[in-house]
Amino acid sequence: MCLGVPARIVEVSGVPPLRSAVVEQGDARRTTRLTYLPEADVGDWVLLQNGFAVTLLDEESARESLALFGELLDEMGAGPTSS
Amino acid sequence: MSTRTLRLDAVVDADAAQVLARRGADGAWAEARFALDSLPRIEPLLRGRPVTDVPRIVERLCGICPAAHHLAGVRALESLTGLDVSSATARARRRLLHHATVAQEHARHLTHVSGPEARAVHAAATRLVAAASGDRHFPVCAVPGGSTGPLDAARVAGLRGPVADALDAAAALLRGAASAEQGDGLPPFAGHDLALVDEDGRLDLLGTRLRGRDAEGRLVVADVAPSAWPALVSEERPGASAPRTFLTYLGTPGDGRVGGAYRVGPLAQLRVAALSTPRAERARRAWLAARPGAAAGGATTARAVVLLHALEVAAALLEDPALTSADDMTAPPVVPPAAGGTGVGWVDGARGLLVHLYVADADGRLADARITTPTAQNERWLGELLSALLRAGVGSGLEAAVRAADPCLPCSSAPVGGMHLTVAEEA
Repeated sequence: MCLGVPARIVEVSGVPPLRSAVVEQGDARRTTRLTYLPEADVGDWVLLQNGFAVTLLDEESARESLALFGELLDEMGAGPTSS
Repeated sequence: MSTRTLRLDAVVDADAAQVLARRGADGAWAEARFALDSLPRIEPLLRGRPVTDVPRIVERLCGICPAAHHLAGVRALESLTGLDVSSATARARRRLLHHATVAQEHARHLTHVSGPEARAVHAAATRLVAAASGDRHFPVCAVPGGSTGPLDAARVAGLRGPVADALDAAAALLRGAASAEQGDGLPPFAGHDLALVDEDGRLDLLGTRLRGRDAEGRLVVADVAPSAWPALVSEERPGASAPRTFLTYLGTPGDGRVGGAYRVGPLAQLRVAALSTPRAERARRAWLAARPGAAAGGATTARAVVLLHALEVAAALLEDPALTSADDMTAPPVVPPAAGGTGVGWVDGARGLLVHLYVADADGRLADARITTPTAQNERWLGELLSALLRAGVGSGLEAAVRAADPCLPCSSAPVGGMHLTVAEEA
């Protein structure tokens, strides 16, 4: 199954439709394009696909999702798990 | 027993797309598959949780398609507890959410046909999704047996204009799709096509019946109910990321046997049944007439036809009084306890059939689950396409094959030439 981890925009540059953004995802920072989300701005939560931010998330949804990922990763421990 | 690690960085950096291929004894390419290792099965994480909580968890893990998982999961709970959806309001709102989501996803995949039109459709569909989902990414829409209520009439009225414009943009995308086709050289598929239909046998992306046809168009699955699913489809490799699903009664494919091999998605949807909406049905007939047999080509046009259909359905729903007025069945019913038994819920999304199967124990906890995604179901077909193309030395066609089978990975909607596929040799 595909897994979608929310990212938060920390920096925006360029003009539509060629705007791009720097996002924070976990401990990592990466660049993404905002072609599909011209309204996205610093502080917004997004889901990424193929280098594009494709979905704008409300903060509550993003935090719910991150909390669930955290819970599952905790349950699995840091190491490998059998499946 | 296999060992697997779910690492967050693997999830985060899942942009890479890899074809894994083996050479035969003569040194030539023999067989290829698309790597799905970054898509772990999550069922083991769900066991033991209250079954009523499972749809919520799955939606939040697969953040890309929350509406499809939301609707399939709630339908599985309804199947488990024997609840019907009596409220016309609930049915209309669910249908709007689903068709708007399908339109949104297809629009994003058609950017290479025409960017401005695709973005216009995407924007209108996004407004529809927001209204139907209660302005939440994880939809507040369906509840077992019903929905959270009608939509605001003024808001619905304000959506009619944008959706009418989006229909025109979708028609333009359909006209442009033929010249953007990449996949007309793809080899035909000898297996079966599965898609959902309504009680009258017409294609219904939120249908209650499953229909299957073979490559010659003969009926092989005759409009069965969700209860038939557990016995109908098996996994050749149970629990694997690429489980190689097949129609159980036709046997495992391989060694030249078609067996129970099947695919899902727009190509299957258009070959399985007629559409209920007039503009899209005319386009479907033209598409079929241009492509007799089970060719994999025409995938871009097929996507544009289904997009037009989804928007036609959404436009009709915006005129349906049930969407904006509560009926006496609107209040969510009392959910009977899910103690024991099996529930199956399905939707036919932009990528094709998605099925949630839950088995509950006597305490209402999840004893077992099988979540069957379109990506998993099309993996065998995609492997066949990739193998045939590599054997024929047509490496340039690999991208068209991935775009046609549309695995749920970022690469599937990449711009033309931007998929960055790599071919790695397997021992």
